[in-house]
Amino acid sequence: MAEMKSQAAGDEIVRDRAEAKWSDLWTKEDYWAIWIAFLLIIAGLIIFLPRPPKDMNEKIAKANATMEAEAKKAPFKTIEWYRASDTKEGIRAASEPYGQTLSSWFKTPGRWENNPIESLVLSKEQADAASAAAKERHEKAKKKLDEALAAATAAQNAAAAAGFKDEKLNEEAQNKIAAWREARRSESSARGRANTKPYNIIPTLIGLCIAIGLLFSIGIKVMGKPVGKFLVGFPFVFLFAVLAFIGAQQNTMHYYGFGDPLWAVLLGLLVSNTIGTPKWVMPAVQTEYYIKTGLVLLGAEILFSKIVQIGIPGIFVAWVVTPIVLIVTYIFGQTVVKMPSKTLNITISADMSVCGVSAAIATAAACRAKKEELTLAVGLSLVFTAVMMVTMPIFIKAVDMHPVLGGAWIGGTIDSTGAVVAAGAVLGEKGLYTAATIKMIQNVLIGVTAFGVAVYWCAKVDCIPGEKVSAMEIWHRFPKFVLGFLAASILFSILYEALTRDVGTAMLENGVIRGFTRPLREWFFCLAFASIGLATDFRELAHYFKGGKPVILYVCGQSFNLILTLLMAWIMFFKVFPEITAAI
Amino acid sequence: MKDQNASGALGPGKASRRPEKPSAGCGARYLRLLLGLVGIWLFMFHLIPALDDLPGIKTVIDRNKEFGIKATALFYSDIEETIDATNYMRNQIRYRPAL
Repeated sequence: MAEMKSQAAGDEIVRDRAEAKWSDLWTKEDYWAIWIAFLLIIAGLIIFLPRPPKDMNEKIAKANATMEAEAKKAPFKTIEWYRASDTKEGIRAASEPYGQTLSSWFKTPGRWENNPIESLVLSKEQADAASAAAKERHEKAKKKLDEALAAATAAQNAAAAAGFKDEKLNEEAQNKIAAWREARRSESSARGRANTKPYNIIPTLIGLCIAIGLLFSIGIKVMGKPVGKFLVGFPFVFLFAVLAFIGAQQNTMHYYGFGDPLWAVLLGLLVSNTIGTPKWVMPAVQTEYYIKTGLVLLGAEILFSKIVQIGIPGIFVAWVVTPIVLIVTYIFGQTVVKMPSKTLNITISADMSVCGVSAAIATAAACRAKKEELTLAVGLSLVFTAVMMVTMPIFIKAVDMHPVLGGAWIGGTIDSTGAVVAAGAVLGEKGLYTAATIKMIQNVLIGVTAFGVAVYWCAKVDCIPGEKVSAMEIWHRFPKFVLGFLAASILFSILYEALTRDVGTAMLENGVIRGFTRPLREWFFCLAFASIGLATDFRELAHYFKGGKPVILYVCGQSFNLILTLLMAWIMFFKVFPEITAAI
Repeated sequence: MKDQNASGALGPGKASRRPEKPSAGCGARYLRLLLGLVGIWLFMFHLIPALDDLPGIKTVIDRNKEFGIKATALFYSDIEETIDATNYMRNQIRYRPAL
């Protein structure tokens, strides 16, 4: 976009006027983010779609037939119903041999306790020792699972013997089946640890570094930037991304939710503000390029059918409350808190009301927030997410709140999905699934939020007060990567429905997305956060924090969010649609 | 008023200063780096683990350990449990026991 300076409304105000040119298609990183992301998306579709798991359609049809028959047989979900559901869930393109080979190339560092090297290399002796240490726990979990299954089978048989007419026996069977499901999840996790395999991911990390570096260098070259210097600095940025993943995989950090964005920024800041980021690294510090490419890939993960997953109550809790909280918090930030920056205000408001770090990234990129503002919003989100992850289930348990209400409350308010699942798990299966589902519905709002913020900024913020901005001017200023983001979302949402949802889940969600585009998106975001850390002056960051206004905004907005979400969830799940709550 | 298009917002540009090497001596700079690393070590291995046994927190963390929950997941597609949730809710609606 070429800028043309124009005088407007008095001599002091000088505004850049944007213009779109055909050459923007190959000279601007917004477009290069789209080209690279779509190249990867097309590659993913070509790899996965022609290679479905063996007998996929037959297995899905059989599982559905079993669930249908079982649903007619008993007034609750039987053991056979769940088994059929599990069989269907296990049909995943990403679990096919080619999918596993592919995922091994995108592998991030593994979990560790005291020795970070184990994150990269685990010898056979170490793997055997880890398996042996976990064996006892697995044996116990397996025994508990067998007992739970036997108890569930006995209770279900007793209910069946009474023709499923005895409410007490039906309830007993439901409780025993729920306990079996819980034991199954616990055993599955213990089994994984008891089967620890040796690995060495250093060669694949080197390969991935070269591949990602070359991929981004195409755009760098065409945009006329120094490609050689980019390739020289890139391994350093990649190294910081690897270190960030290692930090996030330390067991304690992993369970508390301190993820790779935190470590990428923190480690980058530490180096850039002490010994200084080497000058030769700076050409590879391409925050916007990485973040926009990651965001277009993220678009593929936003499937619109998720919105209706739990019916109208879910739409109200996630799609009515969230925009209200976002807009009210932003207005509150401007008028009451008097935030020094509109972009910081909207980034914090979106991160707090929508879904944490991912929403902050999308919104910050859409309104062109400064990297310090994004860092601050992400930091706030991570800290409050950890606090809410722990305190909300304690409170919900203490007041004996219904798990569906508690789950909806958690899903609508805690920022990141991982923390939502962790908090929801304390409430049992119903609470967990309600929380996770509400969060997924809210995740879909990212696209709408990014688009809305981008349009609002072009039309109302980046202009002279009172000026009417033409549609063409909005188009010129509009961050084009947002269009790629929306296009990816629409493409995958249509494909998902066209394949039918069961096949779409197996081939797209558990194939192209989780097996290909999502791991790459994770790497691109981590590279972006490492770049932010490596290019940020800590004093600049402190400047944005002055007066604690960001914290005040977050706390006030989140308090409003907590009240409104709880109220809406109670009205929807207990007053307007109690039958949906009963069915969950 | 400046159009932020020109500011190179998230990347190095006018809006965000590139860090310069601090003016302190070489030894002092490495000392600061070392202190930072010690801070991280304290946070990771002492400060946060000290919270583990606090009532309430223990319940959540133990659950995370028992079920292997990835609490660091940012988006729904980063975590396995959302597959279970999707499956559960969809099957629940399509094959809801109705007796």
